[in-house]
Amino acid sequence: MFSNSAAIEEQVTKADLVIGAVLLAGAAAPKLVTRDMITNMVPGSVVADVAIDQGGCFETSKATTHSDPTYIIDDVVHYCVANMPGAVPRTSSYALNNATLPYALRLANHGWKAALKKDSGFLNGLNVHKGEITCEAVSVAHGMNFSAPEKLL
Amino acid sequence: MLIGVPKEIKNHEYRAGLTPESVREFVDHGHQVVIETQLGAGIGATDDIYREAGAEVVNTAAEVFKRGEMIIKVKEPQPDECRMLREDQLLFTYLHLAPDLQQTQLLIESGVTAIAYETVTDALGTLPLLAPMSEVAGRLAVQAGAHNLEKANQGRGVLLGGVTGVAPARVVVIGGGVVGNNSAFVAAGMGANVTILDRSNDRLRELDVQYGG
Repeated sequence: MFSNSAAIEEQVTKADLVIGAVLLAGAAAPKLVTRDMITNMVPGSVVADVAIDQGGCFETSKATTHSDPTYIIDDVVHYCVANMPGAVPRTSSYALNNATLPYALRLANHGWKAALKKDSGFLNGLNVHKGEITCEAVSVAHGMNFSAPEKLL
Repeated sequence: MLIGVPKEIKNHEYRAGLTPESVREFVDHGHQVVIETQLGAGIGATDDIYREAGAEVVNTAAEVFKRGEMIIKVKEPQPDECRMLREDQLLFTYLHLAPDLQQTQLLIESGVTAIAYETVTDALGTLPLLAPMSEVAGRLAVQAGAHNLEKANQGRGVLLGGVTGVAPARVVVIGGGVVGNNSAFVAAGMGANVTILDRSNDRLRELDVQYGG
């Protein structure tokens, strides 16, 4: 269903479980579900905010931990655990390794310069080198100088 | 190359930077792997399993950081770890530097060459090293939601999938990206009535094809 405030309000107030899955790369998550919408939900319904590591997408979200994962506001159970994949470390470690291993092997086999030179997407991973910030978003966030990574290769 | 893998020290972090299977891949490619003892305690992999895969097991993180030419981790290095990094060493892990000034400064001071999982992109412009954790979180959110809908956990007392003659729970997923799609996949698999909301018509069209409307 196409997302706008009216659709969100209509759907959220009828739901048993709402999952907040709004993630914008490198930015704070937008607060798409307001306090009023939460107040109008069915008592005992549940919201799970997967965007909590970026501030959350429910107005009522605040980060919780695996040892104390939920709290209640207006009779709605809030599950807002930061770092959710940490709950299932075995599955997560294998999932992460499946993705990272080919990259890590290229670093080891070819050396980092050659490996990054061959793959501009991999080069985007370079954040810091010999005291220089090589990721533009990080330099902007901290008001620090940016060194283009291409020049280091 | 000598690969060093310390045990994670951030609170409640049980993941391991390398699994035993990954260690074996490095060794098969002619590299050496040094791990800190108990690296795999949280994932059911003992030191002996890592030794069988070809790793050398050492007692301290300090030794791993001292000997490793490339350090592989999961979470961003904590301040004590940052201080063990040095010039001409590679660090490959999640960093999330933008909101973390202290870590940024410590990495700059160390002189290390740091490559962050979360900013690597692929040919489609997506984030291949962030996606697997988004998949886990999306799927886990449904499991957590179902658990919390149980009465004893202060929920409505509704079974996600319903039963014969009783309607299933209504699950609303806001956002149809990697997280949302994985939530929808698991919720639908459990028999829930699922609605996905997204701002992109193109994305909705893809999801429509995948789930048959």
